[in-house]
Amino acid sequence: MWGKVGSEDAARAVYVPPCQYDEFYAFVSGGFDGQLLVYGLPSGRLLKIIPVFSQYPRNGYGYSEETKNFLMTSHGFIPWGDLHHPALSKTDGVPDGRWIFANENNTPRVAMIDLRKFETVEIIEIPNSAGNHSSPFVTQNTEYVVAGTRFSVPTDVTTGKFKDVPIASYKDNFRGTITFIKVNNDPNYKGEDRMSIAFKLLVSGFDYDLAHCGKGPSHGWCFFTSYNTEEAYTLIETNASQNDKDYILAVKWKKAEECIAQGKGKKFPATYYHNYYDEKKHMAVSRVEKEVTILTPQDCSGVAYYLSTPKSPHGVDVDPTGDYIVAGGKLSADLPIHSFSKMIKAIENKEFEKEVFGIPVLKFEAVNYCLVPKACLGPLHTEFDGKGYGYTSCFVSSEVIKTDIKNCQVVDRIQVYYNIGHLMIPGGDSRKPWGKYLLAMNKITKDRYLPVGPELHQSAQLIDISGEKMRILLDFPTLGEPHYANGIHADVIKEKTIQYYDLRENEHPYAVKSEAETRVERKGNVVHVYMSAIRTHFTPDNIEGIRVGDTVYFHVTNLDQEYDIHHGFAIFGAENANILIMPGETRTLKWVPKAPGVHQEMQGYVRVSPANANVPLKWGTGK
Amino acid sequence: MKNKGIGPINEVKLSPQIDMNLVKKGEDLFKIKCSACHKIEERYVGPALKGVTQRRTPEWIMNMILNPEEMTKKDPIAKELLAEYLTPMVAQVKDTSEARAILEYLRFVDSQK
Repeated sequence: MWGKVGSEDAARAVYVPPCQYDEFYAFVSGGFDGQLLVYGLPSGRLLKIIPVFSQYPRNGYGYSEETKNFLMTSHGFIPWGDLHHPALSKTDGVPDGRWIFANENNTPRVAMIDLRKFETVEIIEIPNSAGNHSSPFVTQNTEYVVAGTRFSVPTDVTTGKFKDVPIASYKDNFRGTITFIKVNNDPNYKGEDRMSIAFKLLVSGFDYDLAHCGKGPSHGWCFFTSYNTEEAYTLIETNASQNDKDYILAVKWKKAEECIAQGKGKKFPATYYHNYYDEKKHMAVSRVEKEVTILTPQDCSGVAYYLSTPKSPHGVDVDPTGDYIVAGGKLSADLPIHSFSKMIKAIENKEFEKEVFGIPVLKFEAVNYCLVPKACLGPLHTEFDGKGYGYTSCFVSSEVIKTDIKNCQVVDRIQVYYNIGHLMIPGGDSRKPWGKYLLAMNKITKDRYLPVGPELHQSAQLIDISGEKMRILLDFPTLGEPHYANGIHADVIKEKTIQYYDLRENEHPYAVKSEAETRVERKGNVVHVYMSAIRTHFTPDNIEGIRVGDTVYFHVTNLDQEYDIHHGFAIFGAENANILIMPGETRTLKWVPKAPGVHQEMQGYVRVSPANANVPLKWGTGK
Repeated sequence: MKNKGIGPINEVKLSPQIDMNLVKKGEDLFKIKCSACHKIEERYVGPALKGVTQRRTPEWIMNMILNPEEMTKKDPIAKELLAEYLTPMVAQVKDTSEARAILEYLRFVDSQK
């Protein structure tokens, strides 16, 4: 074991007494857990797990009739997802605490989570994509959320389907797409579907790895790293690392808007799911979308440029001034920093080395501000403190380096444990970072905690960055594999959170507003139980007249109207999950009884009779 | 019967005449917010409410509706009731005018034979 962390002094710095609150919310990706984790900083306490792309048996997300539709895709119902990058909505380039977005990497999707209730409210599928990794970074005023292909695909845009072609024809047939999802920011908008695919930019078949959008002077642009400019399709680790330089793709989305307004985009068929939550009916609705607008760079000159950048850049991080763009060159020990203003001049002066797929490639010298020499091994991602410093994660050398951006030199470095991937400073990708803490998220945990067999959770370290020297304060395991995270000062969100749903506004078609409305209705082989829950009982809690062959829906409304009085509901033998019902909410559990008998449901009983029985429907509580 | 309970209500002025509009409002609120735990004639999750306006002051009733958590910790009668029923009453009503309407409904119920 190496790397001594902590002292009483450090412990005091992270101690938050009960009923006093953490200063920051940290939204940490759940990775292959498919969920979004909410931690408090500096305490490192896990405050909530928000289910997004995976079913969640604790509260029935993705199991209950109301939430199943969230996980619908053009491939059918997908119970699992790989959540990588949370992105807080922004106003004027500053996190505003309205929503947080997250990408699904495996079956390309983007989700929106409402931060009044910390719940998923919308998921949109991304067609013509694979490995939705350079996603869901947002523009300065959340005009757009982006979604780029990490793995290019042989899309036939005219049909919206993948072509059946040999993999060896990669260069001819495989293309990347950069999707811009428009976000409806209107606070008075009454609909629930706030996201829509505005357009897709068709690009060459490189691997578009990560992104960040411009701010201040670079507002109107988004930047995507790309590797595999070799367009390799096997043994990628080696074959995609032959070229000395790869590219950053700079997309001027304001130009794309102009071209589309001029009719230069073309509409093509596509099939993708768009799932959103009807807040009044307490229900996720799925809509199948049928069309996308595709823009090709050849048809819209000036929409995109490639910036020549050392070997396999990973993160592409725009500093708070909006001018410096740090490109973590995974395979380059010298850390490149590009300049947006230099890039604009280079475009004016046409300092192109060639053109690829209709996109001019800008010369490295013409866009590069400096190369931080011998920065570290395996630099990946950079966040900023708003005081002129960038903090870069170094995967191979397991460290965080602090760089004076303007002077292009490393001024401090600290070991982290071990093999750091992403890192996060609250607001650290915005125009106004809260530069007090940094969260390092590490891939390898090994000897940090008590051993628990071969499978370990990943770990995070909290680093104090308020002084000249970085200092580790806290070390804690995380759920899932944390990729990126976003953080925000608690004051921006905490007063806006809601405590329960108003029963009077509940328009769920199977809701009950009082015990007097509870009942059981049979329609052929389908039985609807209109049930209420309130401290401390369900009504009805005894039901007879259910038969084998029936499908039973328990629609449970929580009549309580008080904070933190939620109720759980489960059925012995039901093939799904528990459901949690928040105060004022209605949730539905489906159950298909298989054999006659008496089934316990929480504190009551359901009598199931044989299929041919004549037992009448009967129900009640306390009778 | 002098205990006014603990909470936002210090004094309620009752007119001898029952306000039937207020009763209607109170009855609707009672159905939505109270009836899952309180019946008029029988013990349920909480006590039967028949005669409550004769047993308690109007202030106590409204404070119990509006401020059950503090009441069951500090008020001697409410403490005893919690010990008997063992289910803490829920603060379902936040609005004073709503509590007043429920009180009027309970007065109406008690005025009926």
